[in-house]
Amino acid sequence: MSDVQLAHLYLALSAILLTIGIIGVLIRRNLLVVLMSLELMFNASNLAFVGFGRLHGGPDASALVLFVIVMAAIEAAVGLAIVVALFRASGLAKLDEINLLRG
Amino acid sequence: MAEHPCSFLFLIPLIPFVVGFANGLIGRYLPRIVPGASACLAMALSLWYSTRAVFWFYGAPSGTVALRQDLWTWMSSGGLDVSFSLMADQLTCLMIVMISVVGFLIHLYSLGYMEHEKDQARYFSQLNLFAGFMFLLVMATNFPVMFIGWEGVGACSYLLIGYYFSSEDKAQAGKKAFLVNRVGDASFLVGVLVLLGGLSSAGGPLTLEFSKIKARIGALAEQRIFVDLITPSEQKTPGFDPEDGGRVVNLSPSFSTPERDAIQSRSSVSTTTSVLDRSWPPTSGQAVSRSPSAGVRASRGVRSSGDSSPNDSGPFSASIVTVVALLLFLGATGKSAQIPLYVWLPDAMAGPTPVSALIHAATMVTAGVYMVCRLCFLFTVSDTAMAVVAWTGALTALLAGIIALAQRDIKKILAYSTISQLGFMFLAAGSGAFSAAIFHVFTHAFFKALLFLGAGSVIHALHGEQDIFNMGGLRKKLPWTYRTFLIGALALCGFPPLAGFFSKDQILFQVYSSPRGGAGLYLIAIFTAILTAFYMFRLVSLVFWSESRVDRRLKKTIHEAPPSMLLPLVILAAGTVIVGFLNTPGLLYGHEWLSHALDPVLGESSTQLKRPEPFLEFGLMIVSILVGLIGILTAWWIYTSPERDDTLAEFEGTLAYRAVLAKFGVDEAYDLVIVRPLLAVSRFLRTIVDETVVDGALVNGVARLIDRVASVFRELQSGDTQRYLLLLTLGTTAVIVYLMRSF
Repeated sequence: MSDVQLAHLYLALSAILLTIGIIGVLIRRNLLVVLMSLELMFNASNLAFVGFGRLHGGPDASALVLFVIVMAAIEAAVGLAIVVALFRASGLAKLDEINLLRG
Repeated sequence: MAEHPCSFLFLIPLIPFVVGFANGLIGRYLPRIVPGASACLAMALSLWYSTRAVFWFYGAPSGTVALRQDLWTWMSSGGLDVSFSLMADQLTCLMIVMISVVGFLIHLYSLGYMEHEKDQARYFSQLNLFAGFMFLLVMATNFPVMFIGWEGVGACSYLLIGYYFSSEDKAQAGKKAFLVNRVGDASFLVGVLVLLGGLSSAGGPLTLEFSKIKARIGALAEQRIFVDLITPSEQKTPGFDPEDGGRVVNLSPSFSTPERDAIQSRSSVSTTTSVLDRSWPPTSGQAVSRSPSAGVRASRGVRSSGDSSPNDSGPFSASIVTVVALLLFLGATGKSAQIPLYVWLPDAMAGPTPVSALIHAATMVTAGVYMVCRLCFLFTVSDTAMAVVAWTGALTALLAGIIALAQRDIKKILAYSTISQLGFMFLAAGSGAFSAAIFHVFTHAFFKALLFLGAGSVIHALHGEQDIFNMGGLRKKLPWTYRTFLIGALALCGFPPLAGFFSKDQILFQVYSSPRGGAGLYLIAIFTAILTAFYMFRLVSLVFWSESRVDRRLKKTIHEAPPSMLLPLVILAAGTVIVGFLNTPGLLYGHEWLSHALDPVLGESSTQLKRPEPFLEFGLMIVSILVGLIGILTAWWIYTSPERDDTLAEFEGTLAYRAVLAKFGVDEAYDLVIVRPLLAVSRFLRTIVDETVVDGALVNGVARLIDRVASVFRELQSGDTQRYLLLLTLGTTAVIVYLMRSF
């Protein structure tokens, strides 16, 4: 299997993961699941980076991946904190019930 | 022509202002005596400085026309500089002394009169503020500063008329006075603006200073003299120099030397003949050749020289002066209660009696007369304006005199009498006898204040009773009030040798002999003098002489006023006896001191009066004494003996009497013609224009429209995060698809 073909496989897997993540964010009600779907999208992008890194060589892609992992960790921490605070304040953990900004 | 600086002039209005404001702010927290005492002290200080100003003025270097103090530049806009300045010339000196003397005495009287009132601080604060504004009015060197005083006294008058504001009709009276005055004030302001517009279009420096306007309008007055001097065929063109505001006169070469000399000496132009040969406007050479197109025709010149020879005085013409003078005079009718704006003064009697004495008899109402006299140089240019002033004064005097005949309220009688006397003053001013008008202002201030304070003392003694038919026989109970009141009443009737005799006699004589007066005006005036004597002694008879008709319960409690009230009465009575001698006519071995003293201010106008003819003057004097006596005796005969009560009752049923009692229905007519239509229009504006159109269609309509539109778009703002995210995703996808379209 050539490098190009391998890269295509990586990208295809990445696209599938991203789509699953997006659909998860859009249709799931549970906040925790939505956060997990977000993580999935981060990882999809990581996979795409790794695939391109493999194709082009060089350290840039791997460096970016490390950054994204850090970002994902931060996002998880902040997101979970918000979810916990929201739950404590309103007892709500369902996304469609949280619509205070309804016009 | 020099103005002498004087550093303490500002204290005269400032002291009452400061004390008045202080009393208004903190007076009520101070011990009871403090507001009244400090107010009296403030007036005493003003009196002291006024007197000092008079001595300074007469001690100033010769050639001084006025003391002056420039405080600061108030407005500086374009070519117009208005400085906040005060001055004191002969006229102002007289006025400030009068205001401070009468004002101080009335403050003193108020201490006793207002003894039982709760809210003394408010009363004395407003009284002091009034005095401050009045000083400002008479000491102003220009229109805007005078206008501050003009408005200020009106505002204080409003406040003091409505002093007992918890009573509805008294509050209404204050409102009426204020609103009627507003009409006059607006007219005054418009007059000033028209004057400014006239000066502006005539070119040259803009100014609102009296002395500078006088210099510029002086040229028009000169023109009148020229027209009188030269024959109609020898027309000349006076005008204005744009650079120095000085007077430039065109003389046609056909003048003989004596005529030219006469003109030069009378116009007091210190320029050389070369200036006399210049013309203004410089381009209008045809002005000299008397082309009808050369500028606005001066009505003055047309009258004197015939229609064939138009008189070019540049754009700043006598007709503008006429308009200005009439507008200013309408302002004066508001403040000085003349036809058509006199209706507020009788209602103003709702205020405390000392207020009626100070504001609505002695000082504020004379502001209009003062203004006309201060601007005599302007009024004399226009024959129309002078005639309007004279006839308005005469008719007001007559009308108010007639209405006073039937009134029952002691203060209302005095109020109508005040209107009538103010009419006399305007009659004098309109006849060109400005010094006589001011003299009458001065004497009237004393005896009318005296009469009001006497009336106040009577009302005080009877615990608020004001109907003269419920009085009577008070001569014994209130001896001092009676004596002083009698002096005031006799002075008002023009009984020699009291103050009113000299001033009134001078007016009557001047009206008869002045070229601007005449027999018609004189007859009205002399008839009014009979009425004056009659209604005054009707009052005196019913209050002091006749049998007592006082309520039995009240009778025992009648008491003479406290000393703080009697002292001003006695001083004013003494003043009433003395002040007339300031202007004793030459016929009675006097020197007309006051007229001569005022001559530099009013003189140019007064010199147009005829010199007295001794026989005529003596005859007129006898006539005025006789008519006074007739009025007094008739009133005494009718009202002192009870057996004539039946005849009176019968007379009171007649239509004429009822018409007079109803004041000829003027108030009702104003109500019908002005107040009701105004209210109807206001109601229309409120309900239809404001509530329906503005509020309904515009304000709420716009809001409703936005609400409708928004209700459609509001659905977008669902608050559902996932829907937002869906849209975000779709949008992002669309962008990506769009960017990738080229692949």
